[in-house]
Amino acid sequence: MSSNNGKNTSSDRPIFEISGFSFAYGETKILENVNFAANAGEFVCIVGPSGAGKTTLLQCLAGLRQPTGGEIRFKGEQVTAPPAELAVVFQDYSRSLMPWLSALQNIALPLKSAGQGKKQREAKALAALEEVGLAAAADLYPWELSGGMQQRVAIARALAYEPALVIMDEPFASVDAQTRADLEDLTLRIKDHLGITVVLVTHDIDEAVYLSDRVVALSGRPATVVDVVDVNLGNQRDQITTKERPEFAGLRSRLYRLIRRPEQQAPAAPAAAEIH
Amino acid sequence: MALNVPTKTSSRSRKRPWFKTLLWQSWLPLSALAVIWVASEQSTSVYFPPAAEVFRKISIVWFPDALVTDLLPSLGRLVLGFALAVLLGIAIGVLLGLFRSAETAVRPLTETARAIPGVALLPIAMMFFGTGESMKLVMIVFIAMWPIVLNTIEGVRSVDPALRNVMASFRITALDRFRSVYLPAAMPQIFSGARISLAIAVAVMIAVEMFGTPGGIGYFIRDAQQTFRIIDMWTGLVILGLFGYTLNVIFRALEDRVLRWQKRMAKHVQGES
Amino acid sequence: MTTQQVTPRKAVDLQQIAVPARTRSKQRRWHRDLATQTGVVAAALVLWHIFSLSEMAQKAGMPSPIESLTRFVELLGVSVFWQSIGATIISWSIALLLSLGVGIPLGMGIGRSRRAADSGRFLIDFLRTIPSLAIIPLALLLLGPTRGMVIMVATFSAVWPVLIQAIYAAEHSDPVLSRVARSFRLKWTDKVRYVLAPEFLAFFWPGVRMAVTASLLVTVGAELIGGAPGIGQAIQAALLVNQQASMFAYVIAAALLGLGINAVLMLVQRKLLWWHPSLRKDQ
Repeated sequence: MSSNNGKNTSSDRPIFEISGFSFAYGETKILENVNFAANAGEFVCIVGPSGAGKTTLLQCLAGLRQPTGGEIRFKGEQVTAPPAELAVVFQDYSRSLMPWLSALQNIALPLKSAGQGKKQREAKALAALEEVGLAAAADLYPWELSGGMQQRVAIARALAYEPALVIMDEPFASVDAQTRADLEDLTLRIKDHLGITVVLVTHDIDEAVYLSDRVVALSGRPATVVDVVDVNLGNQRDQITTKERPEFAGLRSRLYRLIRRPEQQAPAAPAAAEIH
Repeated sequence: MALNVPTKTSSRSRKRPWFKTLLWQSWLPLSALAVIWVASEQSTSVYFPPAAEVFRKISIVWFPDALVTDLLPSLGRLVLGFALAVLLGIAIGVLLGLFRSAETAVRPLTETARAIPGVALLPIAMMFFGTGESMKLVMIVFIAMWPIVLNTIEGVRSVDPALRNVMASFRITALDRFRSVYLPAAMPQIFSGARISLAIAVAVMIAVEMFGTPGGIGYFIRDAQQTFRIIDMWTGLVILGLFGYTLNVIFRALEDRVLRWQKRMAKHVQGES
Repeated sequence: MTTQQVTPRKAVDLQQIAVPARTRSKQRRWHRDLATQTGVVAAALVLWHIFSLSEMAQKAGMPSPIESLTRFVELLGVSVFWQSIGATIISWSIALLLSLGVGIPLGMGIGRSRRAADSGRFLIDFLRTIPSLAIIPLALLLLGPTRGMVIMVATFSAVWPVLIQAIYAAEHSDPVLSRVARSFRLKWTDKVRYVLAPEFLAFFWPGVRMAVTASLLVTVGAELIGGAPGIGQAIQAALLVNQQASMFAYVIAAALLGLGINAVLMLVQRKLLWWHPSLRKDQ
């Protein structure tokens, strides 16, 4: 808790900065002139309709792709390759864990590559598993775990990496509603506990409002930032009471309108996001 | 999965007491042996001597003399040749699997190397290496490695593209990518290639021994036939059958060990559906 | 996968724009691949040529690629050459047909009953691990250096993969499809043609591929070791009379035969199994 200085949004040292960012596939512009930044300890959600290029934006932030215009700075340095203090939780948990490695080995692999000793990395991996409540599953293989548990292993892998920034790409899109709520609360708790910064992409506006300190709304074609909305719902969130508050409903409606207006399309599209 | 080759003549997984299974598995081999034994006893053909005679001769010829002069050299040659074929095959396969353009460029050469009936290269190998040990080894390695090369290429390419992003973002080093991702991902394919490779290696070993310098089970069988020692030839075939069967058993045990995660996963998935 | 983020409508847009460009670039890539492949083959031939000038190659009597290819072209007009190739093809195809004819019905029978499969397991496992080239001496005793000897050895090599794969295919036929066929009251001819045969074939096909490769290898090997008519014997004969260029020409012929058989195999596979997922994906 003590390390959480995230409420101070006026800090003049942002952990990352996206400025003048644009991305195009050939001649098709996906994202244009995207600008926003996040401060250390913040929880930022990026929302937008399917096809707005949210995943592309995240991959550029993670150093997995290069923007076609503008620049991204992480801790003051331009991102040209995946930075060491940044970890990603990928959307598709069933494909982002290695089926031939146990949960513990999956988590320990990046630490091994970072040159850490066997004892140290196993201790860290186990601690991370404890953090997500899966210490008992250390020696199980990913395919022996449920979807929600697999995603928790993926989160543990990111945590064990000891990042300053965790990037999550629609991490709860393919689990059932109850598991989803549990994972949301788990993520909030971990973020507070470890004082890390989280950027999470989602197309679910309720989820965005529930989790965030700030929500970045992307919309349009090519997509750009239509607004950055501060969420002042306090530090303690609760699946029932927080969502009952009138401020929650207000923020929710505001974001829906923001995202819908330019396209005038019914928000029935999200299902298409998972089509390959 | 249908295009995978089964590891053994698999059976349905209905429960049945083990002794019944054993009974079913052993009655045919045993009665076949009995029939051959009795039938060959009355045989008048020089080419099919009595089985009893063959088995008596095995203990005389093979223990211990021919075991040392023929079986051990064959075994050494095979183990060394097969091991080299596996190492070379995986190394070449991983490189070609990762660098797609290089693989495309050399494809005419790899396709030809694979398609050529390997034994046809025997005279060429003899031109350069004579009939001695190096010729035998070169032939085994060069002909047996291709199934492993091709399967490794396929296996490396089967790595999920999602995992490439994972490896990049967690900064997995090249060595760890090879050890912990590409190699295990390709391992099932490598093994199915290696199984074919092993069969080819044994076949090539027999061929080169029949042509090459003395020493080796292939040489023994060929020599026995040419000097008309029919019973000795039969003992050679029996020993070779046992040799091949044992190799297969060892290979399977190794495969079960290395691919434990995959077997467990297959069982797990089956259990769910 | 970033492209997942594209909505269906967007995807259609993208395709309309991109399709002509993509086919063009595909074609361009194909041309480029062909050029590099030709380059690599040419480089290999040049290396062979340089190597053939070395002392080691000279001493061994290795011909240059030009000598070998010239000899190969000359041989194309010689009837003995075609007789050798013809003999190999005939022995090989008879062996293959025999092993299919024996292996498929036997395998289907064994695969339908667990007791049969258990009974046969040890014998099959034992016999198939005997390298078929090892029975050449036995076959020579029985049949002499003849086509019959080659067919016997080659059949022995090809029948095991066919048998094992047929057992496997029979064990794994999917009862769901059979039920579908029954519930729609398909005629039995249609059931075989559209339901049973394609499914069996998908499981069985690897057996064919292995049998084809194994029997060709063993056919040439039996000709070479046993001295029966065919490419193998021609290679051996050329070496004995010190005609290295002829020997290389015959090896080239053997390679081309292997490539040709492989190409036919791929063609048949595409015709018969185009619907199979594992083949669809690499197109």
